[in-house]
Amino acid sequence: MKGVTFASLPLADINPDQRFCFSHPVSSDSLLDSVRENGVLQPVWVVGDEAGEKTLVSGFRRLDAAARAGLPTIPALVFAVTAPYDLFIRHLDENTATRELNSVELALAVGSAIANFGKSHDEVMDGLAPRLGLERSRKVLDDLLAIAGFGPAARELASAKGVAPGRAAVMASCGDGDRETLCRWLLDHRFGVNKSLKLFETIMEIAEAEKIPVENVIEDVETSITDDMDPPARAARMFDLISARRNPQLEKMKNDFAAAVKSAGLPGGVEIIPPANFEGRHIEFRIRAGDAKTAVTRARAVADAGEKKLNPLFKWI
Amino acid sequence: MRVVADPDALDRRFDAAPDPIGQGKRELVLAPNRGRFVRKCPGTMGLVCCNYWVIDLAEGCSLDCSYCVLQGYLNDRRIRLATNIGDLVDQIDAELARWSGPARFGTGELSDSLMFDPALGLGAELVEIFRARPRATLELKTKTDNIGGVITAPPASNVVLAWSLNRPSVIASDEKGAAGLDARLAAARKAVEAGWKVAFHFDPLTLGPGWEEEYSDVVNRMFDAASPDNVAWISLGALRFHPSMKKIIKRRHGESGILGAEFVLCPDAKMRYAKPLRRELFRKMKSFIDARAPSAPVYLCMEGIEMWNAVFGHGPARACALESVFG
Repeated sequence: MKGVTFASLPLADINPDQRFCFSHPVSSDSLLDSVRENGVLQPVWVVGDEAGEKTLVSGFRRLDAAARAGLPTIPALVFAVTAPYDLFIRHLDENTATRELNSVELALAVGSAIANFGKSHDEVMDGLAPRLGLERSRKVLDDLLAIAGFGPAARELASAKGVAPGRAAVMASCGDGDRETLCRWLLDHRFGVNKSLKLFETIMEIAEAEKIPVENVIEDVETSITDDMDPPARAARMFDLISARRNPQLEKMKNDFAAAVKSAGLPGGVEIIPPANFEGRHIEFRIRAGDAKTAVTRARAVADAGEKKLNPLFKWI
Repeated sequence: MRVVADPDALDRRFDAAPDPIGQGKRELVLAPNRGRFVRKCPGTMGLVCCNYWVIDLAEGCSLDCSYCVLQGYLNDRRIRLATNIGDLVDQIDAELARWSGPARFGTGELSDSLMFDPALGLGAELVEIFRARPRATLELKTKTDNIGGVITAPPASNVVLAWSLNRPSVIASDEKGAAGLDARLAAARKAVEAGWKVAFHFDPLTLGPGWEEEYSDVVNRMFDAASPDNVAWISLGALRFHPSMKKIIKRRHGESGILGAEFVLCPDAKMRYAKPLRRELFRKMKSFIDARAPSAPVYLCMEGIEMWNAVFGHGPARACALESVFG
C-alpha cells in the first residue's frame, strides 16, 4: 500500500490519539486471553510524523491488551502524515466493515467528528450517518451526542448488545449525577439490560412525580428488603416493588384480585387470569388436568363455588 | 409563498431540523387531495363507536398541544390543506348514499377545524355544504375562537360548533397556540347567542393537582356560557397515547406535567390511566355535569362498555339523548 510501511514498534513509543478512539469498552478480557495465547495478530495503525513520533489511530483495544499482556512490541502499519479526518473515516470504515458498533461507539464516533474534527451537524448527517448505518435525522444525532456525554456506568448500560441509540437515550433525561448513581446501582444488582432500562425510566418517573431525589427511591427499596435474600430473588423483588410504587392502583387491583381468588376457595389446578393490566372484559378460568376425571372435578368446583363466591372476581369490571 | 408542481417532492419530514415537528407546523401546503378524504372513523375493537365520519380537509395543525397524537402520526409533517372542495362534496354524497342512519361528520380529527378560518373562511363554506344535506350533521371542532366567519351566516340546524375544553392549568402548559379557556367560552357564548348549537369535548381529561376543582369550575363556566338546551353533546375522554409518544412529549414539551400520573398499557396499544383512576375521573365529570344539566347528552370517547356501565349505569344503547350520535 502506498505510503504505508509495516513495523514492529515498542509499545512505549506509541501515543494514543484519543480523537480516533471510539472503541467501547477499550479493555477486553477475551482479547487479552487471545493476545496472551497468540500475540497481536492484526497490526494496529499508527501515523508517523517527521520527528519520528508514532501516534495510534486504530487498534486501541489491541494496544491495551498488548500492554496488559506485557508484550514489549506490537505489529503496526505506519501511515505517512495524512489528513487526520480522512484517516478517521478510513479507520471508521475498517471497523464498520468487520463489526457492528454499539450505541456508545456510534456516539463517540459522531461526537469526535464534531468536537475534534470540527464537522458541522449537517456534515455529520450527510457524510458520517450513512457510513454508520444511521438514519439522517437530527433526533438520532441529538441522541448520540447525549450518549457521548454519559459517564462510565451509563456507558456500560448503553453499550450492551441490542440497545439502539434511541433506547439508550432514555437515560439522557436526567442530570449526570443521577444518571451515574442510578446506572451504577442497576449494574451492581445485575438487573439485565431490558429491566435496567425499564427501571431507569420508572425510577426517574417516581422521583419526578414524588419530587424526591433518585437516591431516596433507591434507598427506600433497598431498606424494604431483607438482606438474607439471594441476589437474583432480591433483584426481582426490587423490580416488583419499584413497579408497584409507580403503579399503585394497578398494584391494588392485583392484590384485591388475588384476595378474591383466594376467598373463592377454588382447588389447585384452576388458574384465574385477569386481562393484562385489568383492561378488558373477560377473566380466563384455566383448568389444568391430566385426565378427564380431574378435569371434571375441577370444573365442578368452579360451578359449585357459585356466583356469590365468584362475583368479587369481577368487581373491577 | 411559492408555487411548485409537486409539493411531495419537497422535504416533508424536516428530520434535519432541531425540532422537525415544530418546523413542519410552519409550512402550509395547499394542494388537491388526490385520495379519499371522507372516511368512516374505524373506531377501535372492543371500544364503543360513535358513528363519526372524518373529513380530512386539513392534515396537520398549527396548534402545538403536548398530547397531540399527530406529532407521531403523520408522515408529512407539514400542514396540508385540500383545495378540491368539489371532490369533497361528491365524497360526502357518496357516503350518505351508502348509509341510512344519522351520520356525524367532522373536520377536527387530523387538525383544528377553524385554525385558518379568519384567512380562508373554510368553515362557512362547509356550513353551506351541510345546510343542503340535512340528514348529515357537521361538527366543527376547535380550540380557537375563530368563529367570526361562521356565525355571521344564519344558523344551520345540522351544524354544531364544538370546543375542546380543558382545565386552565393544562391549557396553559400543554395547549400551545390555542385560545385560552375564557376566549373559547366567550366564542361559545357568541355562537349560542347567534342561534347555533354547540358541543364540548373534555378530551383529554387529565389528572394532576387540583383537577377536581378545576374541572368542576370549567363545567360551571361552560354552562354559564351555553345553557344545556343549546348543547348538542358533551364528550369525555381520558388522556391516552401510544407509548412512543412519551418520548416526544418529554422532548418537545418538557414543561408538561401530564405524564406524572399512573398509566397502563391497554389492549389497543395505548397508554391510559389505570382503570380506577379513569372511572373516578369520568364519574366526577359526570357528577359536575349532572349538577347543572342532568339530562345533557354525555358520552365517553374510546372506552369500553364496562366503563360506560361503571359511569352511567348503562351502555350507549340506552342513552336516549345520544340517539343521534350512536343510533
